[in-house]
Amino acid sequence: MFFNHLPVEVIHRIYDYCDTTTIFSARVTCKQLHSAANSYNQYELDYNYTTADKLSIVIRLIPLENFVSVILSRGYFEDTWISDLLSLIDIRKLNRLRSVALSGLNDDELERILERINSNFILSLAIDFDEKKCNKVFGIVSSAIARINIRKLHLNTIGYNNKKITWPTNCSLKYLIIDTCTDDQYQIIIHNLSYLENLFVGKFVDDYYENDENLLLSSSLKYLTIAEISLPMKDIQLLLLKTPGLINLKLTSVNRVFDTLFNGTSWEVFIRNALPSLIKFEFFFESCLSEKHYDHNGRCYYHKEDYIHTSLNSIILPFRTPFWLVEKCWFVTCDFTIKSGEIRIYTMPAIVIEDWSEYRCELLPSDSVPHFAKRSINKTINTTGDKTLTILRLDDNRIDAVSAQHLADALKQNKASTLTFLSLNRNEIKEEGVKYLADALQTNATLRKLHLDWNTIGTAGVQYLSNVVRQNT
Amino acid sequence: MATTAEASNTTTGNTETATGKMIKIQSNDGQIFEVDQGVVEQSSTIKTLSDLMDVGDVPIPLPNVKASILGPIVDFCNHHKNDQKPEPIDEDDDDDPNKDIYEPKRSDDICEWDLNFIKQFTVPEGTLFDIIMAANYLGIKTLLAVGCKTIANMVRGKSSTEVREMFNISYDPPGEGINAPNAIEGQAGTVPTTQDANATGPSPQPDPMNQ
Repeated sequence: MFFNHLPVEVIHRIYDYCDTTTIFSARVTCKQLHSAANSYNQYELDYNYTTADKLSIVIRLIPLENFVSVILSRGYFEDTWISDLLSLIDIRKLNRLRSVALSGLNDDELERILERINSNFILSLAIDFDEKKCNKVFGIVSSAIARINIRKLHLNTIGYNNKKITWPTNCSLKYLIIDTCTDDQYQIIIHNLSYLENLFVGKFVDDYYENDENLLLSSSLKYLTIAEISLPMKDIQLLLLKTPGLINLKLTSVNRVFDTLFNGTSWEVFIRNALPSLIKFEFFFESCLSEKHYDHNGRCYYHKEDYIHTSLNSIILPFRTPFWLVEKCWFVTCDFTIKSGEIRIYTMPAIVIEDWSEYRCELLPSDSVPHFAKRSINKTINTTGDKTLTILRLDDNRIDAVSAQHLADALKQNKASTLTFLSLNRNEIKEEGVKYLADALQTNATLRKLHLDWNTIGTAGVQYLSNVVRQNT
Repeated sequence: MATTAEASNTTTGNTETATGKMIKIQSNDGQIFEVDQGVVEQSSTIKTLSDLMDVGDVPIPLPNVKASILGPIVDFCNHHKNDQKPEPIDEDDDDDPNKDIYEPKRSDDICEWDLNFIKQFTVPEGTLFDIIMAANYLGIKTLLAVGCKTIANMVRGKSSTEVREMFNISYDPPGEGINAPNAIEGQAGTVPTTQDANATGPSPQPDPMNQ
């Protein structure tokens, strides 16, 4: 059996995954692949791969109605090829077009292309632009989505938070991806786009827009993702009240204060009342302990005065009710990153991609007590690597009494901790922190060495430690 | 087989679906495989046949597939039977104006297990094409996609000469068709008028992508 013995429909399936240039290479290898290329009708007009010369050949050889997709990207070159291209092909004749992606084009070019699109099939439109070239772009996009029957719109702008688009009420948009969105625009989108089912917002921008109007909404939104939101919990709840039919919800919020967003009980009550159809809830919330400051090395530290220690166990407890574990099957992990001093809670599997692996005290859904961990949170739970974590060097990390308390929580449990060596030189543990560590050592029999140089632990601190050492032989 | 050893330690949950009644299928060289409903569901052909025949204990004959291919296919379906079903999209009807989303098809999203699975089939032995043909015949869309993506990944960015060498494509007899000697010699080979009705333009045409 050879490539060219495959039936034409299978060759077409292979062509589905090839770019036009590759199909053209296959085309001249033999008769079967040649005729399969000629009868293929799912071509992409892709300027990312081809040069203008090659493109003009492609256009000559493929009937325009066999193109289903146009991908035009200016890239780094300021040239006239787009005008050349537009003189070469009549956009109006691409009547089976289903997907258009335009990147880095200027107002004129966008307008020339969008107003010529003459296909009833357009399902997907993606536009990337930056502010330098486009002033009229929002008007152009508005009229395009009003005229063409678009189902999916992907807008990516650089430098525009507020997209002045008049979302037409009659438009059939079902899927919208938008890089940034203001409160104001969000209200209009939810209100006007009555067919919208799936909304992805890259960054939610709080513009302090006062909107007292309580519009009666019939939003059909089912899937909502907000990849970056910094609103307080009550505003997030107000936002979600507008979309009562949600099935999937994905939220990420980092760098925020430790507020009721981290409270499983308040989420439980809210979801029961406001989002009764929610099936999938994924989140990643990260809180710094208090206001963040940076030293001259760029490392962050906190004023710990206004922070009260909250143990990981007390945070996770409200997420372990029958509502979370049985009814919804949402499993939440809570951890404390030792170096950066952040509390994070997130659903498993984690929705945030983390390449580095940070030292942290972690409480997995299956854990009763915190343990030390280092693997990336995206790794499937395979704690063998973590279970053998025996040496932990955390020198020079500005670890304060609060962090020391989390360390102590993880040390306390003899079974969970395999640590034999812990080095905490040149931190800010102080007398108070040492007290917690000393407490933990009373029940820990695995740790053999603990380094605490330069921590201003004072004589009282030494006293705590010596008491423990005396008992713990 | 060594390449699929990873199958045993996957972490994709241990939900054992209700297997229901077992069905027997028979390769064209007489070997009989017993499969459960989770496997049958993935193959539209076996599904249709088993519904039609109401087979009982009689094996369903699959005259187009030999045992050396059918065996791995059963493994593949067994591995994937607990996968989440994607949203039902009728891929065969791309011109349907009611279809909501047009997504360009990607070939870089083959999962690790499938990559290892497909490695056991090769071009020189022709087994890679056998498995694609079998997947096509049996109507197993996921396997067909894995096979087609694998081929697409092999040919991406290659010139026509490289494609010919890679797949050992036999030339048409000299002097005939598009593989006339002068078409092979130079890279910028010619594409003379072929017998097929779909050939475009007058001959000769340059090989547009290999200049």
